[in-house]
Amino acid sequence: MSLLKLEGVTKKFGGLVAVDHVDLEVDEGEALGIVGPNGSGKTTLYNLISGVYLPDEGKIFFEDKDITALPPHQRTPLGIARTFQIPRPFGSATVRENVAIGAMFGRAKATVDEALEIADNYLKLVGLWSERDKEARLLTPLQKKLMELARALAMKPKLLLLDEVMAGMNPNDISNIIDLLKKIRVEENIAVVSMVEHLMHAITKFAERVVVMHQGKKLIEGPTLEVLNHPKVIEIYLGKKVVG
Amino acid sequence: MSLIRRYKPMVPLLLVYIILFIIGVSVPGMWQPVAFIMFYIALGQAFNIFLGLTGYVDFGYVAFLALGSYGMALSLQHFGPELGFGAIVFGIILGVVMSLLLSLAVGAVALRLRGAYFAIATIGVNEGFRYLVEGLRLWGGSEGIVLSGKMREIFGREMSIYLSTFFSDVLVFVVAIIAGIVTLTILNRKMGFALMALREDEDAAKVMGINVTKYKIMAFITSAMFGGLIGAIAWTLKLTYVFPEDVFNITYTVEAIVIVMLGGSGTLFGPVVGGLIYGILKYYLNIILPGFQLLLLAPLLIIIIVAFPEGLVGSIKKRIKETRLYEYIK
Repeated sequence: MSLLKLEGVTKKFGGLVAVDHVDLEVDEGEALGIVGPNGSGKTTLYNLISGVYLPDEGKIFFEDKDITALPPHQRTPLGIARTFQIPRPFGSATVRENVAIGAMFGRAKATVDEALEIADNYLKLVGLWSERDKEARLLTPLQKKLMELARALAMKPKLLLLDEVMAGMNPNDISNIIDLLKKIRVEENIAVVSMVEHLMHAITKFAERVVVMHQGKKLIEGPTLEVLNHPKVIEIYLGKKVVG
Repeated sequence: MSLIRRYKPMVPLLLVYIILFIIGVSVPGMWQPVAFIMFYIALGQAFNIFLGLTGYVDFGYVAFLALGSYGMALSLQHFGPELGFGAIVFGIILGVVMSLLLSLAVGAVALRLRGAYFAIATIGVNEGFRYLVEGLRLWGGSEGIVLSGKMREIFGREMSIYLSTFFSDVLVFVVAIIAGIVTLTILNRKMGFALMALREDEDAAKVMGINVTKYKIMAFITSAMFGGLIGAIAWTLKLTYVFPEDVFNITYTVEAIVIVMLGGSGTLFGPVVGGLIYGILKYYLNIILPGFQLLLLAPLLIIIIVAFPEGLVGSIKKRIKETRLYEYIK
């Protein structure tokens, strides 16, 4: 059974078709990469899945339940969590409280005390334990990303949507994050969808399957290396061979 | 966390109330200034539950106090002779229910709007209601409801004076304590976290699974009910009259905003500190420079925004983060 299923999903902004009849399936516990240049509709796709936008056409199913018309706060408890491309911490709250909010209102549905405990665990996991009492707005951009990851994980999602979580990180951090994601994915059986613009190297290490988006359409999908080396992808998107 | 530890931040609040109460009853001539200050503390507490916790500015807030005061007035006017003291209890209930109904109506419509649009929409509520009362000659129209004679009839002369000069003020203390407990309970529970999240970033809060509309309306209704309570007690019962131009006066909303911002928006202790400072300044400025007290508002607000954007309590809270005092300030 597929965890998430998109059928002919379309979203228009005025004359611009940001997402154009996209079909997509994500299996339970799968590691999927979504790649595509700037403006290819990746973030809009995330906004459609998380409920920030409602599609103009098409249907979205989560565990065979039609969630097309559900508002975001009703999708999250089903097990959908996401991060944002530009981190959106609750700035005046502490790092610990930020992560605890995820645990309280996500699928975990924890009480305040449980949530603070869950928050501590995930903060240790992403290496932000020492910053837990800091106001979230005082974190560095990288730390904010890690905090968002912890916050999303604290929701105990079945599907985790990562929006450029590795952008701006150095290779060392990236490999740490990838190891972490691999570990959590297996341990907690989370399907992780990671979206990147040009971190192909990272995606090859992480994703089992890749979907390439181009101008709002799904260009091609399949096993990671095969897709990224596909002449069509190289031609329209990468321009040159990247993965050797 | 144990219950005692969670409610530790009530200690400074209660200390302030106890000190004020003792000054009021023991120093001759101090009861009236103390009652005046307590009104502003209670007003700040009540308004903070909405403005402070959600970050939404309701310029029509005074309409809830107004309806509360009408609730009490109508109860005393119509049921006073039969119910006696029961009419005061019924008046409080009626006032709260009337505010609650208005908050449901306003909340269902206006809380769909965001930020400045919400603020503008709510100005209309207050002004609209005032003209409705005056235009329809509802509840005495622009002449209002005068209760001093009626209250003498119902309770007797001595008792009416006691009710309006002492008992009503004591009730304001009680309201201020309850408002503090309610605020702290909200802050300690999931609702407090939800409100903080939506205050910081409403869209992100939604994606975190927070039903922002639900929590906004809950805070709005709670705040409105306390407004009704204060209107019924601190206005009608104390002053023994209700005039629409007084009770729908937007100045009270602006004062409430200043109090909340001065003390620290969204904190528990903030409105108490804000109300204390504002009440003292206004009371004594009124004596030293009569008529100038309203000029206080604008400069005070500017100073707060520039010097203490998080309010006095907000700033203090940061300073004492590493000390044991931190547990007591929320």
